[in-house]
Amino acid sequence: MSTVMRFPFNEPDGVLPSDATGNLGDLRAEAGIVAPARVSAWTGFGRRFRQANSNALFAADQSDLGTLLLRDVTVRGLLSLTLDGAVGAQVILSRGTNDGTLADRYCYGLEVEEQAGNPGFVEVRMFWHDSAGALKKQPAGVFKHAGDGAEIMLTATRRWEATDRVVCRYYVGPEQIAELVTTDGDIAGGTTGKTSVGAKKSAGVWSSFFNGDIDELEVLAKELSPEEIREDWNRMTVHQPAGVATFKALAPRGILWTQNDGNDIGKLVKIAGQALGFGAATTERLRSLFLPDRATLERIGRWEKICGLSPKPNDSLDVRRARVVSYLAREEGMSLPAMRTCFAEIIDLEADDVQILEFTNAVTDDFATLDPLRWLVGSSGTWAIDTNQLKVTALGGADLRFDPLKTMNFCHVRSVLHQTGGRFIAGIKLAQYWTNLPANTIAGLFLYNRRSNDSVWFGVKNVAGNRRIGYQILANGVLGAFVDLAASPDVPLWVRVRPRSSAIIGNASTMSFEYSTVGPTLGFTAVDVTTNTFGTEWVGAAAMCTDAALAANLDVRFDEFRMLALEGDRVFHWYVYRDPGLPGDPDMAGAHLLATKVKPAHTYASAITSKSVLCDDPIDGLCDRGPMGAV
Amino acid sequence: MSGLKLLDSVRPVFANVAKTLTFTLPAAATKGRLMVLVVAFDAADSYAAMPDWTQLLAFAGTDKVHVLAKEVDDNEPDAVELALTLAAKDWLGQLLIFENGAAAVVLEASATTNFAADATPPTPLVACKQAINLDVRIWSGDGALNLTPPADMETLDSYASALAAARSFLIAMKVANASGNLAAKDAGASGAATGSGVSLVLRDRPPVTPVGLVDPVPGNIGFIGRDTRPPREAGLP
Repeated sequence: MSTVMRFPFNEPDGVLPSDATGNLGDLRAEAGIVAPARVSAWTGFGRRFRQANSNALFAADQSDLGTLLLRDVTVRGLLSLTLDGAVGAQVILSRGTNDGTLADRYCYGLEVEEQAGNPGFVEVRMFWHDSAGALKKQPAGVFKHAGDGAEIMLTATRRWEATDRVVCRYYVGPEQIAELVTTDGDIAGGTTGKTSVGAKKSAGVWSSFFNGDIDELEVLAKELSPEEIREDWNRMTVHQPAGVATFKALAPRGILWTQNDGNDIGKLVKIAGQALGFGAATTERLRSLFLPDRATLERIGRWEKICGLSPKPNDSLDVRRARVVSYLAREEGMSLPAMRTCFAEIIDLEADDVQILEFTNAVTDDFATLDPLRWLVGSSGTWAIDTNQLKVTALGGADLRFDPLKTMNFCHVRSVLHQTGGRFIAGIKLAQYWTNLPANTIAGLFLYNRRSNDSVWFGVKNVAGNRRIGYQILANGVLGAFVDLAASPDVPLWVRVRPRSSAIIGNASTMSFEYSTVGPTLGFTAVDVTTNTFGTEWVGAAAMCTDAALAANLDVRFDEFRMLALEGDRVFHWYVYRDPGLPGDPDMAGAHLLATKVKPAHTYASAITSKSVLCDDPIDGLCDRGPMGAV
Repeated sequence: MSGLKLLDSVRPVFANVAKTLTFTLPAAATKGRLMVLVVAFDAADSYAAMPDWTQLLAFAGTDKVHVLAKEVDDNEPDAVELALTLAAKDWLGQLLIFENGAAAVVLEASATTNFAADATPPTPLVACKQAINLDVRIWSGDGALNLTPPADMETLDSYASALAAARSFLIAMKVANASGNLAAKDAGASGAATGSGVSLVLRDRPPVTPVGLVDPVPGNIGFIGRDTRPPREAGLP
């Protein structure tokens, strides 16, 4: 990010101009070009280049470390144009002399040209070669000519983002006049090349001579930000002159030397005043640029480190600033728009595509679909969605017995309760059960503890041809008898279960089994039931038959599933979900670190690519970065 | 950031009985932002003058295409309504909301043409001074045509309306990314199109004149160079 070339052009006549950084040898002329003469300029001295005189200079790299910049670069100059008598493009600087070798392909160059058909308007543009040697002249910024001999500051920056995206910005003084994007990201060049000033060379022929005075030239290995350019301009035009004025003001009124700033005392005063102003400018620059919204490329990395954000140096400065600002600007850590913006870049999505998953303790499902990330489906029976209802079917003769040794084989769908033990409310609607419920088969709400296999079925059972509301409990490996509560009304039936007291592991608990034909919240008849269930962990729907083979086909429909984990910790979990189907190159490890950093202390957060743990692919160590059943 | 920036665009509602063409202002139309109104209508139709608006273009060709501009002010109503004095055929158009623009200078150049029975209706070549300017093309014609823009342009809107008599409209845009003459561009049409094509170059401002560095006494501190490489740590290779 340093200056790689700087030409002050202060050398006296007869002395070759040099590069103040030492990366280039002394600038010189050769056959076909003539060294420009020294002239007075704003910083002291400069060089006068005239097309008519073929004025130009060039120098070779002193080592292979210096001037090759294949990505970001800033070229800027203090210079004046003389359009009178000038023809065509005028090269200010070109790294590369295009002698056929890779090292001398143009890897960056800056030229100006009076606009054809618009006298008095000047185009400024960068150019470079691609790896095939094709010259890529970039679309230009345009400014109005300030007048022949008027010294201006001209800055051009290049930001390489990808092989098909390069952003060039142009400034006159502190004003940005253009930002243009092209696909010319294939940039050529090699080490130990040559750099020319005031013209470009190609195949041994010099052309595109500059017509004007160059006071100073500088090339930096980074894209200067608009704020840095403005601060440099302010230093030169506001603070330094103010320092001189301040110093001059100390002189007694009427003293002779103040009437001519160009005399010896005036020049000494100028030195002191410029130094004074320089100090003020440095302080002002620090004040202006230290906060992350205007941080420089060197400083933004420190802000990222302070905030605990993963640095992404390949991102543009604007993006990195936005990420730090989003992090700092969040309100109590959970402003969703700011969070989306904060994570957007690190997971390589637009902010609107970032999903922040957060939950209540309630899970409801109207069975528009059978979401495989929510429901674990047993392998007995067939569970499917039919006209927005959950349907279970099995053919006569199927074995729907509960087999504790084959936990996936019994007929059920279940969803995790999101708490271990504790109180909960769960309910489901039996939308249609009276037509195809085989003998000795119960269908209804299902409560399950996978570790102990303790289970509860609460719904309607076909008892010797009569459909009865009731329940059956499997505890400690023993299936209890069906407890008959009432005759089935053979209309849609809502069933729900609510614990009357906390379910303490190992101890019996009382639950309220409730049923209604009116609706999901009204008309319930309640029965207290004491169970030995080890903390229900899964809730869903199931069908179970105590016979080895169904006497007839099974077809039962469910709807309106409700589950509320009163002491669940789901509300304290939130996730940044990145859809793996979307293109991009996310840094999920970094995103997880960021989530851990920004989360409130009482929550758990993670960056994920799956809404459930799906151990089905070799990426991410066989298991996706899932939240362990957050949905 | 430089350049005109499009924030939103809205399609109007044409009421042929009430003879109004109404553009509802989008949320982006906040105070100070620039509205550019494009309206295309049959050559025989007309509307009442809008004195608050700056007329940028009033092309009277096979179709009429008018372009007007205005900054949103404190008293801006929720909708812009054109009172149509004659509306024998459908009126179409688009309201564009820009940032960084001003009505007095937004139009840098325009060019117009007519086309007849053309399945690739054209818009003409137009000159552009700055590569950051916006190249906007408008096609308007009789009939319910399915107009599609050139491949390198983004469609802002393309629709047909047939309340009074069917007419079609397409407006497309891109950053010019070049200066000089911007080539003529053809749209695609589902049938033989007869109407008018308009090319606009819109800008945020004219090219700036840089401030000069002026000091009668040479000897000012210019560029100072920077070395921001981290120092090498002792003991490390």
